[in-house]
Amino acid sequence: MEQVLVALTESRDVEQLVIHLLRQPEVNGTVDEIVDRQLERVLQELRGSEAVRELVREQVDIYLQHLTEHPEPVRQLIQDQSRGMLHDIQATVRARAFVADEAVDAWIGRVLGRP
Amino acid sequence: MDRPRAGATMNRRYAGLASRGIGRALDMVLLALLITGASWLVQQFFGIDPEHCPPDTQWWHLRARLCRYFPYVVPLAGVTIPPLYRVIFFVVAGQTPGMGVMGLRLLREDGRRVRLRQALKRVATFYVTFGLGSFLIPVTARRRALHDIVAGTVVVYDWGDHEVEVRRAIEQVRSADA
Repeated sequence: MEQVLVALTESRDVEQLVIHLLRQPEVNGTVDEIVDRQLERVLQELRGSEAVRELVREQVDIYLQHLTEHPEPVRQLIQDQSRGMLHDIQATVRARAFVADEAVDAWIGRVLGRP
Repeated sequence: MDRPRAGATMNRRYAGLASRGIGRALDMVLLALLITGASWLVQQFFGIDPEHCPPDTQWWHLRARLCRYFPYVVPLAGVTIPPLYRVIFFVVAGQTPGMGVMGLRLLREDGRRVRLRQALKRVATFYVTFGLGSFLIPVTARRRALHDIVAGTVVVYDWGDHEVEVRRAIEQVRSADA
């Protein structure tokens, strides 16, 4: 039986047949449904699992510990982001003032009848 | 009136009324904070309450004397510190902090750095004319105010390392306004 299964999984024809079947809309939909159902079941089990919860808790502790011991990258990231935001605001203010300068000149030019 | 404006190129463009006005307003806010902050610190440090000054019957009663004259100190500082602030920043950095925020720089007509003489002339003219000479900015060829013409200076845009960001922002503002 095992030999038959190995032969089938290695067979090119079987592979093509499976691909062909999966491309059929009704088969594809059924497969999707099965996979979704199985995934939902697994996720449900994982959500209720105390072992997974403990694993996540341990990982969070490890990350927090790492961040406490090496705060520089996080601090640098926050500083860079703040600086970037300030530069953006400054560039916008400068740009608006530049455009306003031109608008004032154009308005005065119109009032004075200059080209 | 003057030589023509610096054409279409962005670098060495003369700054207009709005940019310069915002820069000046920022300086005024900074100065107001500095003066009121400093006077508050002095009051706290010396424990001065101008409404309840102790009598200064002896010449060494310095705290009492400071307390008596304190109401005149703040207006006096308000009159003397702003011109000093401008002169010092023009000579040392070529721009005040407000001008720095707006990306403006004060230069001599030939593009060289401003020296004490031009800075003094410019600031003195500004205060003598109550700043009204600024209204010449939009009508003169190189966007010069009266105090610029008297001192032989110009104010130009100087966005330094952020030139690309400002250019991009200008395009965005223009396309949003169009």
